[in-house]
Amino acid sequence: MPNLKDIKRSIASVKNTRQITKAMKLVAAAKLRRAQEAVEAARPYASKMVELMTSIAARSDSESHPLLSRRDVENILIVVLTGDKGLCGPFNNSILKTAQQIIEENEGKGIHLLLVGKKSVDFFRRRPFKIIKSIVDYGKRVNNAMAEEIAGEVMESFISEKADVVYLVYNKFKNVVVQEPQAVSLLPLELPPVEEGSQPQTVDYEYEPSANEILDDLLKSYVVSHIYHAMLESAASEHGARMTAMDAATRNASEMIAELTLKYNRARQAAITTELIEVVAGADALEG
Amino acid sequence: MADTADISQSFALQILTPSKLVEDTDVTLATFPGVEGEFGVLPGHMPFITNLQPGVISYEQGGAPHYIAVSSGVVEALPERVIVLARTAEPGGDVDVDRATTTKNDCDSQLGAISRDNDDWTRLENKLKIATARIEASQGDRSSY
Repeated sequence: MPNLKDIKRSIASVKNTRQITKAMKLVAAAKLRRAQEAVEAARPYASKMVELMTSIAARSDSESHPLLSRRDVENILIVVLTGDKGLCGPFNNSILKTAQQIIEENEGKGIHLLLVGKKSVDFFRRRPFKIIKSIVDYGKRVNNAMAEEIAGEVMESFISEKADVVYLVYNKFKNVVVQEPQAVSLLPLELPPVEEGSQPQTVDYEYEPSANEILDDLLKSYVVSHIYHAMLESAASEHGARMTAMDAATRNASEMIAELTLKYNRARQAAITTELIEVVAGADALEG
Repeated sequence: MADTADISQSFALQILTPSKLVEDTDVTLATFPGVEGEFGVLPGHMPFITNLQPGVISYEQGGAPHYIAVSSGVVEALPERVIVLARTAEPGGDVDVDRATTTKNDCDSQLGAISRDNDDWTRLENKLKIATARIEASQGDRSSY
């Protein structure tokens, strides 16, 4: 028969765990809201940027820009965006799996990695790939400056031909429950196709200093903006995943507490019954 | 009635940074720190695109002057609207003047210690310009231009 004290202790311990998972869920929910607002707030800049870039690229010799150069792929660079912490369901693993898939598809080529988040650093540390940079403990620094830092590294690798193609692997936020691991090719840049007869094309701008120089700046900012956007999506996904995982954990804990309480009550009843039987049996023995 | 009259006298000004929309308003005149020099925009400006250098964007809104410190970016001016895509944009009122002043003094003294062909020169000079722009935006002081 299970010991009453032991059951009581397990109940207390599960209750503690539930309190923690519940708190984590609430924190994740608050952070998720902020992360979603950040994604929304970043949208106007990004869309205007693409519009302007497309419009200028159509009227300058954009083909020659180094960030657009296509060459035979011998080396690839993968930027992997994971979190620093676990307890967030499949968030980190699905990214690592996606990254590995790319690595397998490119067997025989030089693989370089730029890792963001402790989880990816831990995973790839003992593997035979060249890590050009790793960024950990970045939770509070999901900002444009960090995107610039990553973008600078990425563009340097690409322009110096250390990497012929750059992939960006991150979680896209679908909704609180669903995150979609994405692998997008970041470089060489692909300009959106120019739509026939679209309005902005009819505008003839005056440029200072020159269309090419402005395009150069815009292309670089575009890479930054792309990475920044991925970082924001990833952050929102992480909080969403953690919220879902912690919600499930809290529910499981509640179920477990109910089960244990039932077990406890049964054990207590059994103990009382045993005691009663003993008393009755004792009395019977005396009378007899 | 007043609205229709306003259209020809004002244009839409939007200032965007990667993280948010900083300003979205109608103005009658705005000046920008372009790489090839400060320039002003009035309604009906010809289509024009230029890069920005660290400096202050100024415009009037509701009779009150506004100053926004920007670090770099690009301006697209069209007859009826102007859009600024800035790397950073900070309204003068939000500037932490003490920090900006410290940065400015730091850069000043570091620049004094190295020569012009040092690798750090451009970076420090840029940082100095940004700090100066932030201080100017906070004071609404444009005398140094």
